[in-house]
Amino acid sequence: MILTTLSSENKSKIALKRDEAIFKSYFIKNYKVYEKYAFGILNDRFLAEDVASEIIWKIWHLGEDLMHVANVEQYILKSIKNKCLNMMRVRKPIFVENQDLLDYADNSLNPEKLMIESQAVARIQQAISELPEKTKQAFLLVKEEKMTYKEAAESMNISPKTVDRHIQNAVKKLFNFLKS
Amino acid sequence: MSNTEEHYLFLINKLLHGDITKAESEELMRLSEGDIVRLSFIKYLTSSVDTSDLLEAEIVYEKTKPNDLIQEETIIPAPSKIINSSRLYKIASIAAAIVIVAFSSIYYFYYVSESANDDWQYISTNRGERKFLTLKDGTEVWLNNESELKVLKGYGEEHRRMELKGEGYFSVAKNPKLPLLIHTKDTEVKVIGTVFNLSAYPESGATTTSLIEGKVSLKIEGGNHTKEIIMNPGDQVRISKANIEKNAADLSLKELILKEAVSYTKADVKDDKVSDMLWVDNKLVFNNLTLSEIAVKLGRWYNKEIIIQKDELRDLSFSGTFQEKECTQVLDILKKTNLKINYQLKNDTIYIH
Repeated sequence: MILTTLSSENKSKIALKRDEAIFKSYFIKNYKVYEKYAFGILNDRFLAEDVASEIIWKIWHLGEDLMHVANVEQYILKSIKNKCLNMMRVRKPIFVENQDLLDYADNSLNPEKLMIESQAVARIQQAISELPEKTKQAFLLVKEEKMTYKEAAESMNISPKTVDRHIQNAVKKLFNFLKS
Repeated sequence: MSNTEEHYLFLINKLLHGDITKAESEELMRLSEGDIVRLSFIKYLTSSVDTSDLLEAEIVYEKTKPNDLIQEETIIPAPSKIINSSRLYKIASIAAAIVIVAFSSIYYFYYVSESANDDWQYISTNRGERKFLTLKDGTEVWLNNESELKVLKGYGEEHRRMELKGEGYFSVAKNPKLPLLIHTKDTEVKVIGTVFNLSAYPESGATTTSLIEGKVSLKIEGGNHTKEIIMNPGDQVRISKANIEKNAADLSLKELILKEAVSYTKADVKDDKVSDMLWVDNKLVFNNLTLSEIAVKLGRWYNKEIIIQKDELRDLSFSGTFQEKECTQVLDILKKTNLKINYQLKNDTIYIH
């Protein structure tokens, strides 16, 4: 579960051009992370769904004002937290099924970590776009298409050894970019 | 680069290669402990998108979507699902064997291959389903709901013969040497190169041919003699077993046709398109049809069982063009005509009363 950062280009498309498709894709990609985050505070599936969806929709309803939000993910996480805490104040304690908890027992859901990871992914994606064409292709086939080296080799019409070299190269470059 | 980092990258490569051992992956975690960059990198590489999560998110999205957005959407007409034929053509020329391109859940593109062993090849559609196919000679066929097209082996080379049950819209590639012959239950349509719609559902008892472009000759097999009718663009010929008369375009023809229980009308042309063939554009058209005829059409289109419970409703007639996603939306519109129609939905069956 990694948050996808909303690029500033897409942010202005949502805020100014009112592009619903981009908003929808952002919503779908990230909903589950936000929902889990809300659940971590509320321990209630239905309330978590309400809070998460309501806050993400807020991004849409902000309209042009969204442009003033410097970090959308941080803003959403903070809003979810506030909303959850407000709810807890008025709510009676509830009984939670064990089984429900297991599903959400993900201790990686602290906002700081979520932010760092999502920024790392955004950086990696930028680095991927700068890889040499063949290296990028081999890396994406293995990472995104879940191909084995052999399958990737067949699809690119090169030897598995070469794929291995491309992957090693990609890993090294991406890691160094991330570190820098 | 430090030694541990080199080892870290070595293990990362093994992880991607898929041959990392348990001990090695433990070591990898140990090497990354407390290092947010290394941890993030591993998390990125091992993360995968869970489609069930995406589906759940989409459901929540649609559920929580504000009403003003939903209204905006319904004003914009649904985009036509049929794709540009010249593009299809290009794909067809690349395809070696059977290529099936699904560009929506209901439209398919077929390329009839030579490899099939049967003498006849079958392409059929179920209720609620429509298909688009391009035959070897470039002829394009849209097959409406619950229809079946049989193509004889050797199509496009030695002959162009096929049989149709149901409804199809044909755009025939020109080939003067090989006329296209389509056999239905009681007619044979001979075509050289043209666009037309042919409806021959077995239960309707009639075969309707609407011609849009070019020339078509119809051969009617009526008992011990056959008649041939030449059709011109805009003509519609309905051949039925019952004696049905419609506005005959030509008086002399009318007499001849009546004997054969054939009715010959000018087709209803709208924007250069015959309303009979609007289904190709994802539109459902009723042209002065009775409710019982509409029930059959709707049932086929949406794959629903429709039962009319009051007999006096059967003969009410309606005209209209619909592009609704749900069968009930069409019925809601019919309800608004102030005729006393009501319906009830139980499972997949709709009762009209």
